[in-house]
Amino acid sequence: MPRWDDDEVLMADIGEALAREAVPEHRREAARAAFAWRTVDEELLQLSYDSAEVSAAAIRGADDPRLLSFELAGLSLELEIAADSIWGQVIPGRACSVTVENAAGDQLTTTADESGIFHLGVLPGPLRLRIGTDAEARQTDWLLL
Amino acid sequence: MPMFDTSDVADLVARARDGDQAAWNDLVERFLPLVTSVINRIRLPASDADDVNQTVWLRLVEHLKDLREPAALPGWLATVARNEALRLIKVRGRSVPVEPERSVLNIAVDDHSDEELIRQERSAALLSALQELPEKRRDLLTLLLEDPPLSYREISDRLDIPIGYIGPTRARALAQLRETTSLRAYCLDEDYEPGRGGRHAAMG
Repeated sequence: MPRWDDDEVLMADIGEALAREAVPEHRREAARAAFAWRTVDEELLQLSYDSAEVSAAAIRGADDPRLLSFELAGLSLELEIAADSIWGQVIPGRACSVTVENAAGDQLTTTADESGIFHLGVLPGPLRLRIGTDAEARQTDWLLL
Repeated sequence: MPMFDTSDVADLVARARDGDQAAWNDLVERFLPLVTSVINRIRLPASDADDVNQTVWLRLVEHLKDLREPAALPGWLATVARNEALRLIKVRGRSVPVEPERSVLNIAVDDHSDEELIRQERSAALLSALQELPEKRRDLLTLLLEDPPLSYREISDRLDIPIGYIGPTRARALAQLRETTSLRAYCLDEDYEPGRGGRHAAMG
């Protein structure tokens, strides 16, 4: 690394790096506040497919909705993200409550029909979904739609 | 010579796992510059960049319990930040017309001049490398770069080391910095061409 063989050049570059990373205060506040969402020993539904992650552009139309799949211990959650709503299905199908919440504490809840199908609105910012209630509850990791 | 100063990170992670907000805040202080630098390298509207930042920290809260190797934390944070930012570009890109031969990602990156991109890469590598130094050495370098400058006397008082140690310790800290995983990886990669995919494409 010829550029950094010289201590003074290296120091100057470190100085620039530190100066660049003066972090906006609201980012720090958001990062600190995230800790309030700590849950103890909750097993998350694992993301198993995301159409925005695979090189889906080639095989899917640009306006197709984003598709997401989650799984945990025989339970699956399929999501189809439209402009301002979420269509979803819990598999195996069951009538159960489904909640979407964001880090601001907003929540929307609906009930899936007996085949597990539900329709929910979207909230601003990162959000996650929770299926079922109490002891049976399962939730996803935080998502950006 | 220890390459990583991970014992204090391991301790902070363990305490945060047990619900210690102060330990969490220390983790934020330590790694927020790295997360910010990764996010800033990918051109996003400010509100999307804020969302990515928030998502990274929310994810870390969920994953504190399965984070087995504290040394992997900077890499984990950088990967989550990068993936979420790139994914958002992809999702947002759907509503904008894209020339077929140019990927959404390249358009986002091309907005920076090559020189600016090189500087950002360099800064990110240096910040990541600083995290690999023992805390005292990192603090010394940071204090030496304070603006306005601190006197050696003040630095000596703050770090509780003799004035005569400052010069030699600085030299050792810089030597160690050159040997960090972050700087070695960065220098191996120096011939990569900005805006032509390269590392960015591989990280998607």
